[in-house]
Amino acid sequence: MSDPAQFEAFVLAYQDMVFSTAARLLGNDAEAQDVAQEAFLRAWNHFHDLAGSATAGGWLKTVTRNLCLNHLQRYRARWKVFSDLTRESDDGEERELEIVAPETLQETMLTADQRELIERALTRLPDAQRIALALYHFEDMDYADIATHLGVSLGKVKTDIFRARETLRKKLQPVRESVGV
Amino acid sequence: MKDPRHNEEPLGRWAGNVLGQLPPRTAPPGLAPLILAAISRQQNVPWYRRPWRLWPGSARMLSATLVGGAFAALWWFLLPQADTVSASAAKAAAAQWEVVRPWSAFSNLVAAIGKALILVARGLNPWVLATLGGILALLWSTTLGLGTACWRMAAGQSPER
Repeated sequence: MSDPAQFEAFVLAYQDMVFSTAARLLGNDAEAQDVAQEAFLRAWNHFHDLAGSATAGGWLKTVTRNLCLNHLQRYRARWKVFSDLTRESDDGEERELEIVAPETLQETMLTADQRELIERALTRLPDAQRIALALYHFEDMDYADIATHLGVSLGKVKTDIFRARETLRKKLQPVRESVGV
Repeated sequence: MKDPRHNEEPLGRWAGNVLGQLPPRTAPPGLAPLILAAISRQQNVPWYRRPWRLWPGSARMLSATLVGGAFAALWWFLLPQADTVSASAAKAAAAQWEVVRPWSAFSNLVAAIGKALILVARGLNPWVLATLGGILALLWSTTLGLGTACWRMAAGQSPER
């Protein structure tokens, strides 16, 4: 049987990462806590393999991500038909090329307030956009992987990520100006 | 493998820069105690009430052997009597069809009504039929929309938050 004290240290070490992954994918702190709890329960059942393993963090992150996607799948299956009715065609790539202006990027550190503003804006994104954006920017998945995981077309993933960035850009205009975009 | 970031457009680079600066969210203070309490509860559950994959190895082996043996015994005892079983099953099925047979009159009635409706429809002006179809489509989509709205209100969530 695994050592509870050792597992407690394990939980404390990884709880921020697990909660963060779940909260950014789900956009809901309460649901993120439920998913984090489930992820750690699974970790407990495999703790004899995970304890001391260098890949424990990666394992935990993958489990959390999959649990989140499963959780979202249940809801998505219900509203997919209706939400798809309001979506435009998968023309993200063309739109991206048309709309984005040739702007330059300056690397500037964000303040704590600005980070908070961004986190809030992320949770307010539509599910489809937030999930795709989080998988791309926080989970380091590419467009094709995201499309496969979500069971949607590549074009839709690109469109959702593009729209998410556009929404963030509009919502975070003050931040954007401060980082010089 | 992730897409090459150097090919990203300015907006993508901006988003990567901004989101990359976000530190991990801090877990609520109650999360760790919640997890540890759940694990403590799980530990207090007797092994035979846990999922089978979490049973002790010997118990899993024994249970697999017992279930496998039970299936083998069932197969062994049923196999020589397969003909008898099939014959009795066939008789039972035939008897059931005898009961169901009077319902064929009902199916004939439904078929007759269907044919009559088709004849009436053929006699109507195509514009009347198209109007009726439009009204039906409108009613259906209204019901669909109302149902969606009700579900979203009941579930308290919207996909386009």
